[in-house]
Amino acid sequence: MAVESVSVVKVRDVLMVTVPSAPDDATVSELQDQVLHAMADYEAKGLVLDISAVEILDSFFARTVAETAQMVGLMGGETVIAGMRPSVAITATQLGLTLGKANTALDVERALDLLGGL
Amino acid sequence: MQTKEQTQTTPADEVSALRHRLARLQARFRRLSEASFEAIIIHRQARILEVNQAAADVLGYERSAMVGMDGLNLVAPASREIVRENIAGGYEKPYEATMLRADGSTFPADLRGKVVSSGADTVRVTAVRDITERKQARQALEESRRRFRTVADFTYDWEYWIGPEGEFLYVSPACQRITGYDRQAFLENPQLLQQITHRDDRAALEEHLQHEVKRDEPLFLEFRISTRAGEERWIEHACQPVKDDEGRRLGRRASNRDATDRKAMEQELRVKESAIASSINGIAITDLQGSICYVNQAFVDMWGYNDVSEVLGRLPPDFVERPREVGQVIEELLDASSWVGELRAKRKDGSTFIVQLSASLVADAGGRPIRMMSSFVDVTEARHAQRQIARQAEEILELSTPVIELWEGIVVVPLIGTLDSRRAQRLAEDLLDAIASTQSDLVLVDVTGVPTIDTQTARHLIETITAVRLLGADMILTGVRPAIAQTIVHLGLDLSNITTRSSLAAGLRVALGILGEGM
Repeated sequence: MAVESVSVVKVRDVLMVTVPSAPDDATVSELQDQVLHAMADYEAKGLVLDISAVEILDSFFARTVAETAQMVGLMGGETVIAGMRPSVAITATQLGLTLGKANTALDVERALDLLGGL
Repeated sequence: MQTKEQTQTTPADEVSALRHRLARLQARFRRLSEASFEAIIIHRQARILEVNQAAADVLGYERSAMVGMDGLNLVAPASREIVRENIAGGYEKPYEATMLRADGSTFPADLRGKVVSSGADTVRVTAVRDITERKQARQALEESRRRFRTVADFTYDWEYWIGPEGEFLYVSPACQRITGYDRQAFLENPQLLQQITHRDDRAALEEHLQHEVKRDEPLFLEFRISTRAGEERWIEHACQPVKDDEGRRLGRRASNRDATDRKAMEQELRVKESAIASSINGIAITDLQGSICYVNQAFVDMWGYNDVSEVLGRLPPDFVERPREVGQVIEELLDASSWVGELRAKRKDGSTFIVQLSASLVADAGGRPIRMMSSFVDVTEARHAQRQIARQAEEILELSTPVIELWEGIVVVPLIGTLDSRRAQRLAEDLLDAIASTQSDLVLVDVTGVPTIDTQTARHLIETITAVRLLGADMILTGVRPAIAQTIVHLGLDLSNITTRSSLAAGLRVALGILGEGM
């Protein structure tokens, strides 16, 4: 299966990543690698992970996102997860999935505000 | 007519004349037969008319007792039939029969009968010759031939006798075991030996057979043959000239031995010998009395001698600094059959060096020790190098954790290479000293040069941070590359209460920011 391409966009000091609607495991791992290397290359101070397109949240995705946030943290960046759908949030809660200590925001705009305030 | 008248005699006169003649003849016969060594019996249809003394002697009778006897009674029952037939048939050629003596003993004899006719009267003169001795001689000859044949035919090695013309006169059956060809093949084809000889050895064999064989001394040659089955065999050939009692040459007698196994063993030994001789280790072999009976070139070089001969026959204590140690080594060696350790050796010029000695007892097939073998490695340089490495390691340790005061109140420690516990210990000590002496508030520990961070390293870092904080300073971990970030998270290491940055520059910005706030 082809890995869905993920683009990491740098806006000012922040990395922006839009997660595709149904990411498979390989795509998620690729996303982590790209984000970490972009962190090293740009010394960004934050990461906004836009998951507004994501309809299903599985345990691998949840764990990888939490770990990525931790790794970005070790590299000196702050992670905000933006735009989680209400249905996804409900399912995640029911399944007991958490995103670790990552910050969350309603949408990308608020996420950027959050990072700007840090 | 006168003569006719004269010859006219009466029958009585005639009988008397005949008698007279017979008596004369008998007397003549007696004289003749007495002079003969042969036993002679005159008989008419086996009825004995007359015998000579030799016949009486050989058959063990009184001569007079034999006259009138049935001659067949002088023949052993087994031979009677043939004798009777020969008499009846007037057979006149010699034949063999067993004779019976008066005492019942028998002897083998050659008989030859001759029919003598005198008018109507026919008598047979039979000569009897005792052939016991001849028979025994023939038997003895037969026996001796058999014995020699046995000796020759049952040799394990392949024996042959080659005539002066190069033809095989005798080939022992063992040739089949060694070459696969039977003796007949060799007897029929004088070239067979050359034909089965290995191409590379043929010239030497040819030279041997053509020229060398004319010499008088024993000769030896080794060559390879290809057996009938195509197998290659080594032949160990020895030959010497054959001469008769008058010294005439009768060719050469040769023994060929299958030396294939021996050759293989020799080669094996040669390989091992050259391995020992060319070994870079010094090797010495001593007998059980301790005197050196072999050393290789490496030993000679190691001890600074010029030639093997300077060493052979000497005793091991001559070659070490403390001769007493040798006794201990030998004692332990005899006890445990091997010894490994270090000794200080003494060269020819008196200088010393350290050798590692590995000694062992060499036993014969029965397990009895016969030799002591020692292998030496000069470890002087290795020991020297070891000490140097230890010293350098110490120096590197000092160099590896430099603590640099980067700015007022900021010290930096760039870590390069793996952070083991010794280095971590050293790092903590140096860092705390530096913080105290420079009165710094912030420490930047940069791990850009650390290949990977494992649990152990992380623990060391956390301990260091705890210690730094106890002094009232803070620490920033910089140079967290993606790979290291991933490892830390995957190992589940919690560094959440440490400020971390991906680069030293980013860390420095944080540090300057903190200091700026404080000002």
